Amino acid sequence: MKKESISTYIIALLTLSSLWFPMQANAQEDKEQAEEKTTETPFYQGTMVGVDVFGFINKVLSSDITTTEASIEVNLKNRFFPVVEIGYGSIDTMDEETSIHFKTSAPFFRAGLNYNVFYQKPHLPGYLTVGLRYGFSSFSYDIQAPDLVDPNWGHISVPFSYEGLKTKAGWLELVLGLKTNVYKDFYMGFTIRYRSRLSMTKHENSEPYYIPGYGKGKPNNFGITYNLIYKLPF
Amino acid sequence: MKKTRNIFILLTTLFTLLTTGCGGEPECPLNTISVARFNFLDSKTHASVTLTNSPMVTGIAIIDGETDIDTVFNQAQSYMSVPLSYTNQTTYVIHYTDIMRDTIEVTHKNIPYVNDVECSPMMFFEVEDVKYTTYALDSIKLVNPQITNEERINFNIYYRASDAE
Repeated sequence: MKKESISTYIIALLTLSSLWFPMQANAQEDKEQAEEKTTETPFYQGTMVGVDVFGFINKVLSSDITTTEASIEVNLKNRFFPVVEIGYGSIDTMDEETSIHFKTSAPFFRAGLNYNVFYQKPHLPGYLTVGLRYGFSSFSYDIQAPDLVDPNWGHISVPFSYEGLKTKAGWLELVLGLKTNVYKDFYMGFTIRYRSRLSMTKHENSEPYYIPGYGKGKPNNFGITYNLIYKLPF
Repeated sequence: MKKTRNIFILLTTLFTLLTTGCGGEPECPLNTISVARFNFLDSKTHASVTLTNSPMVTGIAIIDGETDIDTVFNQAQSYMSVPLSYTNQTTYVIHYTDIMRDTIEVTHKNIPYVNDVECSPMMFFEVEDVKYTTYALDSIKLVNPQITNEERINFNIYYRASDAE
């Protein structure tokens, strides 16, 4: 919990610092705003590629979870942003209290759409978006726990060790995002995501503790990403 | 432009505040013990029956060839909730009197289960077969073969009401 709080504040500082970058001069903006009123927004506004650095920061702060993730997003009329996100998530954790060990690593895939709330104001130095994603991951996991000892009859213990349990999971994400232009074609972006699990293969002896790309395997959870983004020159 | 920047900063701060409390504590079940519940019913009316002498119930498991007996339920009146052993067969003896007893032999599959690494493992059971004597009881019906930490009726034991009261 403490580590999560520290990471959250670091992310907040990074985000705030990104907003501090000098923006364009007011006079220039006024001129651009005047131009916006007279010209129609072209359909294709460019393509942006990004990487999520939150996974790296999380790992540095000694989290058991490692996530690497890249995204590609197309700007259509400065309003709609179809997006594809591909990544790789892994965890190797042992709970100190229960001594249960869980391990998995697998790719994940998300696709969806962002909607720019400020689409009528292309002069702004960033985008505030709401979006939806469908995420999917197919993975296998290992889980080991201490032997279970019969509390009534004693002397009987049952081992708990399962490897290579194959699982699939699908989920939806509601995404609130903020992207800010920091320098020329470089942006920084921040999203918070409310995730809701749609499907998950359960096994007789366990449920996956962690789903790559989704997080801890509860029915709902929150996630955050912090992206470094580059707008391609075409 | 300053206004816009302030809006962006405000939103970012809101994001931060929203995500601060997202860690959460694990939601582990309060009860991790799985017991089989037997309800006592009238064989004709299927109404609940109360055993007037509140018999004791013992459980028997055979471990490495040795019989291990333990009292598993005292004063069974309208139901009994009894644990299962980690062998694949648990036998229960209902002691109506010193000489009148019924024996119930439950064959089961043991299912060790973990739903969260932060929560203690549990043992679930799946009933595969049930055999019994009919000195006092009339019959037993398997209602739900899944025995988990969730409280539910697994068996109905039917008595002829005149014998039970």
